Amino acid sequence: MFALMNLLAAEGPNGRFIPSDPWELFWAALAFLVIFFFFVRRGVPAIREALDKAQASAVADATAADQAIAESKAKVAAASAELGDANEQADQIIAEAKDTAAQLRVDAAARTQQLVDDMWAKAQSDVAGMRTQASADISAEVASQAMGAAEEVVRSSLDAGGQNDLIESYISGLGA
Amino acid sequence: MSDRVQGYAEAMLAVATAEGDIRGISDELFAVGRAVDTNDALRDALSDARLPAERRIQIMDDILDGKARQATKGLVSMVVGAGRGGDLGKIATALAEKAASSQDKQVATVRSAVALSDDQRNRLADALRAKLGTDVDVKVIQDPSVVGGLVTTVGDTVIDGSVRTRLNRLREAL
Repeated sequence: MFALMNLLAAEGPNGRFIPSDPWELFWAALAFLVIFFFFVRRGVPAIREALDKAQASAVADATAADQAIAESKAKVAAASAELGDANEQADQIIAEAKDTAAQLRVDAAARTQQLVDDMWAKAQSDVAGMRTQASADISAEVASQAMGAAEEVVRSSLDAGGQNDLIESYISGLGA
Repeated sequence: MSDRVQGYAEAMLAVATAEGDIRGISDELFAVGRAVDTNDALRDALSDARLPAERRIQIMDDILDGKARQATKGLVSMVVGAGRGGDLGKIATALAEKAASSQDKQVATVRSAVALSDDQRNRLADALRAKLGTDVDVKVIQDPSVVGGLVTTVGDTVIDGSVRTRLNRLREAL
C-alpha cells in the first residue's frame, strides 16, 4: 500500500504525496461531498431497499425452504408410516398365507387319505365282486357243461320206447 | 288277427267242411303253417313278390307232393298264389280255432319230440277234457327241442311235462 502511495506521490508535480495546489484538495473534497450526498440521498435507500428485498427474499426463501423441509419431513414420516403399515400388512399376508397353506396341506392330506381309502374300499369291493362273478361264471359253466352232458345222455337213452313211456306218463298224469 | 287272415280261415273252413274232412285238412294246414313259421327261407320265398306266383305255388306243391290231401294242396296254392304265403301260419291257426269252435271245442297245441299215434291223440284229448272241462281239438307239433314228453297249450293254460323243462329246472338248481 505504501509502495503504491509513494509511487503516486512520485508522479506529482512536486514529488510529494500532498498536491501542491490546495484547490485540488478543495475540489476533490467538494466532489467527494457531492458524490457522497447523492450516494446518501439516492444510493443508500436503493441499497437499503435492495438489501431489504434481498433479506425479505432470503427470509421468504428460508421460510419456503423450512416449509418444504417440514413438508418433506411430513412426507417422509407419512411414507415411513405407510411403509410400516405395508410391512405390517405384508407380514400379516405372509402369516395368513402360511396359515392357509398349512390348512391346505392338511385338507389335501385328508382328501388324499380319503381318496386312498375309497380306492382301497372300491378295489376290495371289485375284487369281491369279481370273485363272486368268477365263482358264478364257473358254476354256470360247470352247470352248462353238466347239463349239456346230461341232455346228451338223455337224448341218446330216449329211444322210441322211452318216448312212448313219457307220453303215456303225461297222459296218465293229466287224468290223475 | 286281421280281418284278412280271418277271411282266409273262413274260406278254408268252408272248403274243409264241403270236403267233409275238417280235422284232416285242418291238421295238415296247421302243420304247413308251422313249417312256414319256423323256416325263414321258406317264408321269405313265399312272401317274395318278385317271385312269380307259379314259382311260389310250385315250391309248395313240391313240398307237399304225396304228403297232403289234394284239398289241402289246393288251399295252400290259393293262399300262396294270392301272395299271402307268409301268413300261412296265422291263417292255419285261425282255421284250427274256427274248426274247433264250430264243434264247441278249443284248440290244444301239443308239442312233442315224436309224433303221436291216433290212439294217443284221442286219449290225450279225453284226458284234457277231463282236466279242463272242455272238449279240445289236439294239434300236434313235432319239436325236437322238447327232448321228451309233451307240452300242451290250451288258451292261456300251459301243461308242461317235457324233459326240456325238467332239464332247465335242474340247470337252475345247479
